[in-house]
Amino acid sequence: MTVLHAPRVVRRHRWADLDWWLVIAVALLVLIGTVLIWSATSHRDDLTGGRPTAYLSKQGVNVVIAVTLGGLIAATDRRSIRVWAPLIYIGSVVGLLLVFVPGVGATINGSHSWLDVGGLSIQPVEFAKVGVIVGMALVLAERAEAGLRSVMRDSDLLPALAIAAVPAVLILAQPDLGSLMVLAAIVFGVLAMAGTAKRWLGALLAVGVTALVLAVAVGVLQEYQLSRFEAFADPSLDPRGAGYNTIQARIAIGNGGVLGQGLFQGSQTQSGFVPEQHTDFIFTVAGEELGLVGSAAVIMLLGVVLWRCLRIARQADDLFGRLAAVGIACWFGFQSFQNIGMCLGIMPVTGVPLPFVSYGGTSMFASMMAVGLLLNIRRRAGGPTGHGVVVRSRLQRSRF
Amino acid sequence: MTRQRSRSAAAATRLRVCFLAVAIILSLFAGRLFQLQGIDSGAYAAMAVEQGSKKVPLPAARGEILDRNGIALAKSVEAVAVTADPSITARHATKIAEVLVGKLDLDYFDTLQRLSQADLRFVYLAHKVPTWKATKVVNALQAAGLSAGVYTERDPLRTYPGDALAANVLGLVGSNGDGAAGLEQTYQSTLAGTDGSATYELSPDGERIPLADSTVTEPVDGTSLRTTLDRDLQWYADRRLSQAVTETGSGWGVAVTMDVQTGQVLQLSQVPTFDANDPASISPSSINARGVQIVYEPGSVQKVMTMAAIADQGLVNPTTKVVVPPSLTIDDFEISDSSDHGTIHLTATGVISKSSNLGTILLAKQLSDSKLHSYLRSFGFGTETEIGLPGESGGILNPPTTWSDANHATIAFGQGISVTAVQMAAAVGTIANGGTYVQPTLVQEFIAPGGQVEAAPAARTHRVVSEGAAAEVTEMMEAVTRDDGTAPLAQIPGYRVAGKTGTAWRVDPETGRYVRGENTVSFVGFAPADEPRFVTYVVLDNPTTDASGGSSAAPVFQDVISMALERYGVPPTGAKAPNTKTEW
Repeated sequence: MTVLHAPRVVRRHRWADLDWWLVIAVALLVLIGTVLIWSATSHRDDLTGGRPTAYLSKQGVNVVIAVTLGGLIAATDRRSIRVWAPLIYIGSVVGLLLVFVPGVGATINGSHSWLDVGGLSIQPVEFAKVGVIVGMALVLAERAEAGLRSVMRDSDLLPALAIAAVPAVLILAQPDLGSLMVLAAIVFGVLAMAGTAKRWLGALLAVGVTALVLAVAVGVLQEYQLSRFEAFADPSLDPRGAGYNTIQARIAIGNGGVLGQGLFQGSQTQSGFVPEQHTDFIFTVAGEELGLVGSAAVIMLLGVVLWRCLRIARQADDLFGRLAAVGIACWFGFQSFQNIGMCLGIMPVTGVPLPFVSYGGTSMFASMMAVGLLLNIRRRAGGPTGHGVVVRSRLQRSRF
Repeated sequence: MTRQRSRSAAAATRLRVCFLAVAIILSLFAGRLFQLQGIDSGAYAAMAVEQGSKKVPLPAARGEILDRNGIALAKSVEAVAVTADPSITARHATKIAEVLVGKLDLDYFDTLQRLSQADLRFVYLAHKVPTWKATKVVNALQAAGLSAGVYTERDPLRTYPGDALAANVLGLVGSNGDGAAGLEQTYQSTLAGTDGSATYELSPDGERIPLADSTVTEPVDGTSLRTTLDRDLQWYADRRLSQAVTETGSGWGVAVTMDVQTGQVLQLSQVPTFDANDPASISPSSINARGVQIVYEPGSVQKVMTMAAIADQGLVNPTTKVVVPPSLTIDDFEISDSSDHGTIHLTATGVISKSSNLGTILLAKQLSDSKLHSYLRSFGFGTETEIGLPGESGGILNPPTTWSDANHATIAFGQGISVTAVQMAAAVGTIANGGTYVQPTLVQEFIAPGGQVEAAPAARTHRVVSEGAAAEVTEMMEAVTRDDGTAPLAQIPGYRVAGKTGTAWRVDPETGRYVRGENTVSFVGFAPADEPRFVTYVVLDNPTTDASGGSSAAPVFQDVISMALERYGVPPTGAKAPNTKTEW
């Protein structure tokens, strides 16, 4: 029989509970992102209406709201989290449904992915990422704990998949290919961490790839999505059309050189050559204006965030926390990979934001909620080395 | 238990895989970043500069070509070229084309096609549009909200206020803005100045970014030329020559007037000519500068130079007696005078005034081939005058070693030698100038944009014959315009006029042989004969009527040089012309 070790709780100073690595890395990313957004929009009168700081202040408000949300979650009692989890999940599904309701849903850039709430534009798909993570983590953890297990059974697979399937279908209907891929990465990561057998993981991978191939073949994908993939393969096919983003992004980054052109000095950025530069292509601003040094720093900070996510997963004292942390790691990791990859021309163009850096309220809210959740998990699991609660499990002892 | 343990172990392994994946991806990014920003950075930076900026040429204002009194003969007027970025205009091509075609004189379908080439970023829509017109077009486009992607750039327009006046001297400017003929071509680099450029940063929709970095290299405007031409005299000579060519049915005509002391050419007219303002008038036969490019056999005017050479050797004077037979046979060629006669007794003056070929041959026999040749070279034949017009010919004067006796004989009276009109004017000008050759010139000075004046290089001069010889030949030439000479029509009341007629057999340019019945008629003369100021030479090629130098070319000479004397206030000397005997 399994011996479930009761955690030995040691009183600590509450600030010491904070994962400072994570907090500082996220804070720096948000700071850099905000400045880059400012730089990318200050000359764009078409966006700012002539007020150079318009986006700076908008993103500032977004950050304040997001940090508040994240702080609330971080401070929430550990038991309440599991109560809130289903609400987050259900709320995000409702949001995804609402985008199809005329009058509430708004179509931007050919995609039904926005909610227009009192002048605020909200992308429910961002919350759906959080929803799926906590939803799956909750279902898997509850079922495992009900059986006094620390890992999942094969029979847990279907319920977990069902949790993900509902929002996935709604996202596909929008359609939002990029977010769907992020969601797939999350599902795969959570299931893998929960202990799904290799054969099932293999099967899931096979289904995913087949679905993608079928989607392309049958034509579920919109023409613009297909042309993006083709343009990715060879940007020069259509340098003024589908390949335009890719080429412009690469020129901007290449133009930065080692030390960059300096903030507000990048000729490509200030001229507005890169489309959607303050949102999806924010990394190119770092590339051009901060150079190799600055963009490598952004990547390193994201690396620190991922490292802390995985570390918190490892140290989590329950399955819910571990799975949620891994889910968040997969989300941030895959989305960063996807976003930076497309800016660097090693991934096709799909519209996903760079976590913490890109302009956008919903993305920032969801990301900060995730950070709050991470800090919450971490607070339960123990602080820095020496202060930690020790959960004696094999997982705990393994060194990474 | 075991199953759980193994699953737990698997989870740990999978977490490790996660870390590994993150590490690999980060390394991938780092590598790619290093490639883009470290290694390929230069290339991308160049692409960025190329894309984000537009280099606009700032054309230098082309210098003017002025007449000797500072009146513009060629000048540049501000105008613009209308251009477009089709990658922007393609969307509204039909609407833009409608506006443009309404305001500018353009073909709708051609304009539409230019505006629609979405893969291009630059096309010309119209050249040399006056600025006031271009302003209207731009305003109309802006009013319709269609101005994006349509631009104007400076495109100065070259105009010739005198239309065809001196066209063959001035030349013209080609569509690329470079001189393509005449002085415009010779002095291209002087007139053109140095174009500047402005590099502007552009936004993606092609608008210039205000206050963004721009580099401006100011253009250096071209230098103006002050020529030696006299606009009014040129205009008059153009008209007078054109009239004569029409009356005589000539193929072409040239008239040139030169200041004998300075070598300055006051007018150089030709028919046919062209009007650079009217491209339709331009044809290969009209655009050349015949005065320096076309060679022909001069005929009897050449006797003046022959006689001067003999006189310089002290072998002839105006009263030297010559017995002229009815004809001479040299190298099996029978040579006679233009009108049959028996044996006559002429003075050297008579040889010139009656234009006797035989008399000239007999006198010239005193000179060796090389002597005669060297005199002719010294008079400027067989070599370019370097007057400053493109494509100048040096004429044809074969080396004396190739001469036969017949060559010596015919060259003495102007056959078997080919000259340009300007060469001949300068050669006769040598006699008028007391035996000193003065190189003909067309440009007096260069006027920089700032007003600084730099004189053109001085005309080259050298003595050809003695003053005495020149005076003796002048005396002979005065007899030509006497009532009993070959050109009484060249007389100018109150002035003493020296001259010589020429009626040459014409060589067919195709076959290289003389064509019976086809002549090149001419008259060269200078006035006042006792204090020479101007030499004027008139050539009419292949007149269809029964024209001669005395009857057709001399009246043109008389009119043109009269006007020159009047314009420059040359008073009659009041001296009487010598009444040198022509016969004995």
